[in-house]
Amino acid sequence: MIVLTNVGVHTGSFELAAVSFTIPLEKFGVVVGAAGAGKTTLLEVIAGVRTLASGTVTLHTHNVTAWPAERRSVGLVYQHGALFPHKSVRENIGWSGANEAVIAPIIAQLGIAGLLTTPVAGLSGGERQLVALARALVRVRNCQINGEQPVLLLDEPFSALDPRRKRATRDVVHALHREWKLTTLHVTHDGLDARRADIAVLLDAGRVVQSGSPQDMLDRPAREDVPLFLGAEDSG
Amino acid sequence: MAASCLLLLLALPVGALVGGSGARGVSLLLTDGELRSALLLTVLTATSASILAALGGMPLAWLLARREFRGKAMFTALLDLPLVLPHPVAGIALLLVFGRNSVLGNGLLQVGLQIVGTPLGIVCAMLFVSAPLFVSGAREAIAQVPVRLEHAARTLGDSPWQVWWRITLPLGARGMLAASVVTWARAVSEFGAIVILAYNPKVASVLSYERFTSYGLPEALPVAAALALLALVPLLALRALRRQTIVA
Repeated sequence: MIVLTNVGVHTGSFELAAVSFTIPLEKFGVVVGAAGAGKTTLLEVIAGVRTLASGTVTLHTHNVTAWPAERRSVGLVYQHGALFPHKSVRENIGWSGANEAVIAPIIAQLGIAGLLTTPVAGLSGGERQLVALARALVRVRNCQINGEQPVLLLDEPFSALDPRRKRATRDVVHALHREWKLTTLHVTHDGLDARRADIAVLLDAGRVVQSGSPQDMLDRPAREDVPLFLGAEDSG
Repeated sequence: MAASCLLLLLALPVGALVGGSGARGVSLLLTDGELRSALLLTVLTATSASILAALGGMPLAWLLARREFRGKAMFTALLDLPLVLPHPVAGIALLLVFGRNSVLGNGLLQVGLQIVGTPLGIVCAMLFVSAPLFVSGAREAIAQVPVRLEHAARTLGDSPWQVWWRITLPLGARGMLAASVVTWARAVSEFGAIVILAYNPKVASVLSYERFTSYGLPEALPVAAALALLALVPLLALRALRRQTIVA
């Protein structure tokens, strides 16, 4: 479960103000909104790498507001991967210290065994996203094996993938989310991703415009542009 | 035209010095024990000062690169101040702090640490004038490491110390090494502060000055040429580092 209560963050001229929402246990949440709405900042707040000006963050039963990032049991995928360029793909994926029994199945499911010996600098944008996703999945699986309850945070992790790879990877993520009983929060601009979620949160200029099930938001939009962010036009 | 004039101004004196007396300076190394001692002392004290600058400067560089705090601009300006102080003024300031009539200097004497007129004093003078260069260079090196990589490592379970050792230091190492080389070069070339705080034992710059004032230009030239050749070492190392960075 992810619970944000009146979260405020100031970064330069941008601010998140009084952000509150809940992603229930084992649910798949999405955050949608225009570029610059604060979606990545929101994930970083939950991950613990942003200092809060106000409010609280609760993960499952723990108020983790004062906890450092390394104690929070999160797997975070940045949009452009944030891979460590001085390490191999294999070292990146195994960064959190998991053993081969954890790493190998994830590499196989994402179909990236062929990338393990490729230098990070030689990866394409899509390959970077797949490696970053594998790294975060290894982290959350490792946390579970250690008896912790992790959350998975995804910042547009499929944006650089071709359509076929995107569909396959999206299916893998949803399958693992169910199989591992994860609580997941996914920042996306993709209407299909948004409508597939259990809970959606629309963010605009650092404020929550509306949150709830995608269908409820489509049926009773708080603003006329809400269906647009949920990809209602894409569905025809 | 202006560039050519500048190039001539930069190259001619060094070229005349090394071209005219470089060979004699190198040959003197075999016969002139005082010159050998001065060069060795210069290398040892400059290396010590550079190591101390790196040890003390790295946390400061990290603080300046990664944290915002009230008074940061003033703090940075104070750190850079030794770079703009005339060197004898730096020596006088150090003498005020470490001289035997000062509280600190007297206290250090009581525990057997004499600064004035010792190699320790030379290291202090070198450290004072060169450490700001390390802090500035290392700050740039750290700032160029994307903070998002550090954040990613934290979310993967690394403590701040692990992030430093596994991400920031390796990715900023080349820049920090370049900052160390510049720091070492600046320490080797120091004269004004050293001559006030620790005239003896003599480093190469002081020896060169003493031979010039006591025996005239012909005796000073080989020493100066040897010092110029020594100064070339870090500069060549710096070029090699930059070339590697571009290739990488």
